[in-house]
Amino acid sequence: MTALVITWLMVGYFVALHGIYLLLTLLAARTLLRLQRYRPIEQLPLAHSQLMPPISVLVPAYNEETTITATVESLLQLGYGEFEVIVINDGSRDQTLQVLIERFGLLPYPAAYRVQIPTQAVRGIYRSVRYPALRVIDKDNGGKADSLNAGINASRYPLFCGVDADSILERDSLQKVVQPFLRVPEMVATGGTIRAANGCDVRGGALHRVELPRNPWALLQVMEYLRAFLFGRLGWSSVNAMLIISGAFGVFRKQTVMDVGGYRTHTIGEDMELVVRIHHHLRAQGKPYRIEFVPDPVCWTEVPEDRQTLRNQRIRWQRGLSESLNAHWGLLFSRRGGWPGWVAFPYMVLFEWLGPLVELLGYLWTTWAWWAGFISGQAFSLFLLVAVGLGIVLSVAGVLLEQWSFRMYPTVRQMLLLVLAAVVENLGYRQLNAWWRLVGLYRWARQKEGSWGTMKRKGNWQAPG
Amino acid sequence: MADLRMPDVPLSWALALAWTTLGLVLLMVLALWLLRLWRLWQAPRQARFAARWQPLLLGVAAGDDLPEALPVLAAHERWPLLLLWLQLLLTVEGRSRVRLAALGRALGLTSLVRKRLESRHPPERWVALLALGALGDGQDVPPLMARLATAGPQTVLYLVRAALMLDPAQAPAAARHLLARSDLDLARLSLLLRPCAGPLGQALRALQPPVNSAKAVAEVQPWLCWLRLAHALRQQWPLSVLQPALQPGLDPELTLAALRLYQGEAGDAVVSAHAGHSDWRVRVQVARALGTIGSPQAVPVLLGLVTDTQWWVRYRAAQALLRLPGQTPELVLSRIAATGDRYARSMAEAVLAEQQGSV
Repeated sequence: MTALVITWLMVGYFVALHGIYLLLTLLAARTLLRLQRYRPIEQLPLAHSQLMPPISVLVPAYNEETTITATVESLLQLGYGEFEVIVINDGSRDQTLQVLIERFGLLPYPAAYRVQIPTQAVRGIYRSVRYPALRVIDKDNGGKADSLNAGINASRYPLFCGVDADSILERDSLQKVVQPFLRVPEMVATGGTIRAANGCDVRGGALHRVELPRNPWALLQVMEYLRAFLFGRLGWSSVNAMLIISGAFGVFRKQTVMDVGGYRTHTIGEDMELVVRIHHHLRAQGKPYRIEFVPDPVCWTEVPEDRQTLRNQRIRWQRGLSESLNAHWGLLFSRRGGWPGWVAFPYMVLFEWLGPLVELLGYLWTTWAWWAGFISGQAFSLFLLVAVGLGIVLSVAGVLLEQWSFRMYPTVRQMLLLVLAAVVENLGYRQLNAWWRLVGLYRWARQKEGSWGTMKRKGNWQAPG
Repeated sequence: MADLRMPDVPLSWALALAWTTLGLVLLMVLALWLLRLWRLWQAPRQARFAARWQPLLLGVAAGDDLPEALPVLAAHERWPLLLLWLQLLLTVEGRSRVRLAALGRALGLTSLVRKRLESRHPPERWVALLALGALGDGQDVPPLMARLATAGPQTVLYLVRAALMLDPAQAPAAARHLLARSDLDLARLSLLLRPCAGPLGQALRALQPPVNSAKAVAEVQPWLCWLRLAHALRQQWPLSVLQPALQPGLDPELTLAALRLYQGEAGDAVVSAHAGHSDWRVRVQVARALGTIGSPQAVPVLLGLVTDTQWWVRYRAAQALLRLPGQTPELVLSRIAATGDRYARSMAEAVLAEQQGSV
């Protein structure tokens, strides 16, 4: 009897999981349809308004000598009224600071630095002689969150945008991601789409040609990012319940972040933790606010191309998720929790945090039960079809949604490769990912210290301008 | 063992799900394929469209006469042509704009635009309103003005723009309407109404809200809307106009809005009176305004502000001090050093480094 109940529970779990994905897909499709209608007016050459809020772009960097130049160049070319770029060198052991000094003509600058959030010691502040909007903070190593806090301390403007040092922003990204702040006074944070830059042609800090990576790991991640951003973020955003804004590209109201104490330094997933904390804090106080996802502005980032780096990244992400959720149990089913507390948080706990455990147990259990004769071949097939088949359907739906709305990968070859990736992703890659996330869960339970993740940078998608 | 067995799933269930999954995947792949075919079919049409219309539009914008016989405009090309035409129209000024408007009228875009004003999709209505500002005539203005009362906060900006482009004499009525609304996106307003900022600004100035017997602001809210609107329209008003809002003891938002509009004629005493304001944003604007006035009498006030607790106040005060006529960097640094405030000194050094361009 127990075997029977467990098997049906597993099937039910996957049905619920894919049901939610389907619902998010429909919400995302509705939002994309609306955005399509706005495209003609957005493409008209109306100049920037002088009343656009100025933005500080913060770029934390640790051992980023291969990619930092292209990132800063892309940021300096952004089409936006008033903005500054602050690179925070977090005690890099490579030549990150030297590369910046040489490329951008940095000189020590006697900046009046104000400590609003405590951070590791700042060794020096540099300013570019060629680009007055560029400053570099050189500080002792303290992690990504600590670097972002130092960037907030040094920033001058009411909004700040966190950008990863291995990322490239499209020229109009900042202008688009800031729009919700103009429309809704209660807007506290917005995030944009992240896409994999591997395989793309980037020159002089600008994206010249979009191409799919040849590396299979990177190709599968292209598919994964596409699904995560188009379905997940867009769907949750439509009900103001987005619990994650990627650290690679997100804009925050500085005062709100300072009110909640800045980025938490003893956590790995500082980006998610901050967003959950903002929800928790503002909901507890009963303050009106909005956190929104804008699908159009794109940030291109380099994703891991080898199994080991990818594994480490996923373990780190799962630990970050665990820390973020566990620091804010108070939001779950709280009186003022709304969609974040009553729907998004439980979803995160059930399907993202405990998901790997249930998923892997599901595969192991049903395989064993079939092998041991507890369930028939039909029942086992039914389980696989629900667990894997529906996943394929949703992934292909992601490709369709992308081709219909953004057409970033327009050739037949690219389309076929994406469909292939959508299928293959569900036949091994997703299960492997679940295993890595389970390891992350275990490590979180063991409470091991967190730090910057080591990412093998290739930077081979960049060429000098 | 038999009682542990799960009731068997009928084979038909598994097969049905398998076929459904496969069917859905194939259906989506087919949709992808059709999408691709549709785009392939569209591409030469778009190329032909661009080849036919772009040279004509660019030529007319550059000064060519309108050709006597214009190409035939197919029904499916009307909306894309309107968008293309509008793209170009918004990037040119003066005679090029007039010529493009004439071409638009000759192509019959006016009737299309008037029809699209009734579209149920707001972005289409906005595009139509932007175009109508160049294509329409006097008879379009009354309906546009009549729509103001029921329009949403974004549509109202497009309506005002179109109406004022066609008839600047409507500026007082439009200004009255904008003043009555509290839901406007000022950044968008600043952007969209820039071409009609002249008449609208004049009309706005004539609509100064009432003052009381002491020549101070009678009611805060109307003044606040008035000043913010003026700021969004980049108006520069004399001190005499702003003075009622600069009386001490008023709402900080009001003082702030008035100081933002202040463009630096004499009047440092009125501005300096707010140097000790409890709101740091007001103090920032005081420092900025004193720097713009450039009066030597402002030095003691600015020296006080450069030791402020707020970073932005210190920054703007240091900038103002270093910009005052007759104030050499050495003199300013020595005066700041005399205050004994190390934050003030480091701020002055930072601003000096910025201004000298050495870093």
